[in-house]
Amino acid sequence: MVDRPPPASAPAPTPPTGPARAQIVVNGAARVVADGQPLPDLLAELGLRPGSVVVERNGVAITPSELSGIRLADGDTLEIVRAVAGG
Amino acid sequence: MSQAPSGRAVPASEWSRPPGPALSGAVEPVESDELVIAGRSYGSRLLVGTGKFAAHEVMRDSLLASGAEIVTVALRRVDLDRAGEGDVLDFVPPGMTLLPNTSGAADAAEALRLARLGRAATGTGLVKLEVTPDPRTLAPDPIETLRAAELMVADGFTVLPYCSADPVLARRLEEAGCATVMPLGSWIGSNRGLRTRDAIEAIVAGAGVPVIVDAGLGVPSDAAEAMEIGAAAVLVNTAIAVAADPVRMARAFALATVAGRLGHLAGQAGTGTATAASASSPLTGFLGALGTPANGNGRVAG
Repeated sequence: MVDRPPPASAPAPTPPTGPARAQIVVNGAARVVADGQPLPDLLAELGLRPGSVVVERNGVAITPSELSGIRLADGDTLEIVRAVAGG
Repeated sequence: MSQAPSGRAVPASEWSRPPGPALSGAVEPVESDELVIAGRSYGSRLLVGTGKFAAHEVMRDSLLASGAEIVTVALRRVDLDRAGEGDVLDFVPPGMTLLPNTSGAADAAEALRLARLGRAATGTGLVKLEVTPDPRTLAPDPIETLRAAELMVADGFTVLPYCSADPVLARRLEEAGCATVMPLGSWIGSNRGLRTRDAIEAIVAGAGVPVIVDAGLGVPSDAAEAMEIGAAAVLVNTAIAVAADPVRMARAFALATVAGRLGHLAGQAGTGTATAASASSPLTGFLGALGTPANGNGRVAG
């Protein structure tokens, strides 16, 4: 089930001053990342092997070939899903 | 035929006869008989789901034993706290075609969204469409299923819809451009067999696309029965995955699917009545009776 609104969570803590930050939502949880962070970098941070997951950004499924070109921006909502056993 | 001189039965070893063809225990299909879905051919008419196996290794071995060429997977949100868990795709033998399903979808929009993620994950446009908003029966929602099928066909998918055993709906799904229809045998995971037999027969009679019986087939003979009445294929998950010996059960379903298919192709003999036999041995030429008048009157043959 992926089409569930993210739970109302407290806004992420304000990051210290420095490079521009982007507030995003990943699988329903708020998260702060560097503005413009490449999506593959985020997946690596999360411990996810590229190719083992599929990402939907703002409601649009991203194909593997598009993945490397995606950069994260403030307000992005990501759903990270994977194939699991099922009938 | 052997004579019976002096009433002695002549053993077969004393007959003279030419050697016949070797009898083998072969149970593989004896003719080219491929399942064609959207222009692509498959040698196996058994599709297998990957759910509910006790371990990925058992699933892999069962898939191999089943001979399936199409296997289903589901899509779920990654648990970011357990990101490193084993990937089911690593245990699907190479060469098998992945059929991502839309399980969990409660309406057409969710189904389309899942289908697009499945396409991104597997690289194929095949999708097992399922919209099952009722948690108790997991019965497919016919209206949302048809709506989703239309959206998916327009988006270029090859759509295999799980659907009610309803010939009118099956026709509508076919008209919408679905590559198959997949009516249920009984509720998902119930192992109750082909409860929808009459409806499936009606669907087969009217369908121009392969009819794949999905859900509820509990034992190999259920698969054989579905194939005998003209299903093009069957999709089995729970009955294999939850068996005491899933690998052996996978093989059993593979054999039953072939047996049922061959039975269908062979053409069924007619069914008799409950109150009368039809002798399968000749009703003439009985032996002379031993110790009784040799008139043969009143004899019967089995």
